[in-house]
Amino acid sequence: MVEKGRSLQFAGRRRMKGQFFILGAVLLCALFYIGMPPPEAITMVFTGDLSYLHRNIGEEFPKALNFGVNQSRSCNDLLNFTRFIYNKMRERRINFTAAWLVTEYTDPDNPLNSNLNVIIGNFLGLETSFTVNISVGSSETIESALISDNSTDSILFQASAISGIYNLTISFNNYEKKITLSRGKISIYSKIELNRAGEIIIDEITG
Amino acid sequence: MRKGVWHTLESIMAGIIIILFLVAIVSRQTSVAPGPNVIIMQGLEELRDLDKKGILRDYVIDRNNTGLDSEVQIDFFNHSISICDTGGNCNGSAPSARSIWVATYFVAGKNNYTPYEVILYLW
Repeated sequence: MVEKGRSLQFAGRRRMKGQFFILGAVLLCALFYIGMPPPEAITMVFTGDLSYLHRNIGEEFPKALNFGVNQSRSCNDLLNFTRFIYNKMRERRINFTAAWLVTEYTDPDNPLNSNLNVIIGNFLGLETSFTVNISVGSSETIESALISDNSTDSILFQASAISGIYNLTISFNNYEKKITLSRGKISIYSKIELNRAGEIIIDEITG
Repeated sequence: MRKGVWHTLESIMAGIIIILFLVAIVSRQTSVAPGPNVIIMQGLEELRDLDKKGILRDYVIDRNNTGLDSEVQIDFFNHSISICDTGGNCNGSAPSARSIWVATYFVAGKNNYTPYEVILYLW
């Protein structure tokens, strides 16, 4: 009886010695887990939002232009809004590039007889050469401007170069776009590209 | 002999416990919750619809993020809105949830140029 009791006692001790490894592992894991900092919030951006963002920006560009024109600030508000969008896109690791063109008249009160001012905004990431071709019937007037990145420049066309309806072609970086415009109306054309890790949305807005 | 084998087995088990624990911790750190894309699109469309109805810009110009959030109806998810100006000053902040989905809507202004960024958080 005594022998049996001793042997059980020894057997228990033997098992307990071995179980310290497992117990130690569990304790180690528990201590490590307790010592871990609380998990940080993971903010995830919806990956299907590029087309949505593009549409949103495209709709806001003409509004920013209108606000500026109404306050006699020409393209300044559009310029500031483009920079605002550029910065916000960078925060989201979206590569935003844009080029826009605005037609306005040197005498807003008499647009039908005043010269045409074509203002171009370059946000393509590089100094870029822009060519603007205005055609009325068979006559063409071509002007060019080398514009630094993140800035604007303007090209002046004489009133005689335009008529009631005229075609304007803008060319840059082997890209060309022809638009038909009405004299006297402030118009905007923009080409916006959003690129995030290979997901690319490119579209144009004319208004 | 048997005692040594038993200790070896137990030490292996202890090692397995530690490895499993580390694997669980690392996978938890890197796991990304599945995206409720449809729900977020619904939220974005709601912001757009509110804008079309002429509701959104009033809230944005007033920087009333809670009022705008009350107009957004999204089932199954908690949501909140921040309205931020160009200087990064925001009304409303990101929730303190572990996984947050973000959607953004830009506003150039209402009657004059007052640009804001509307951020919709879902969690």
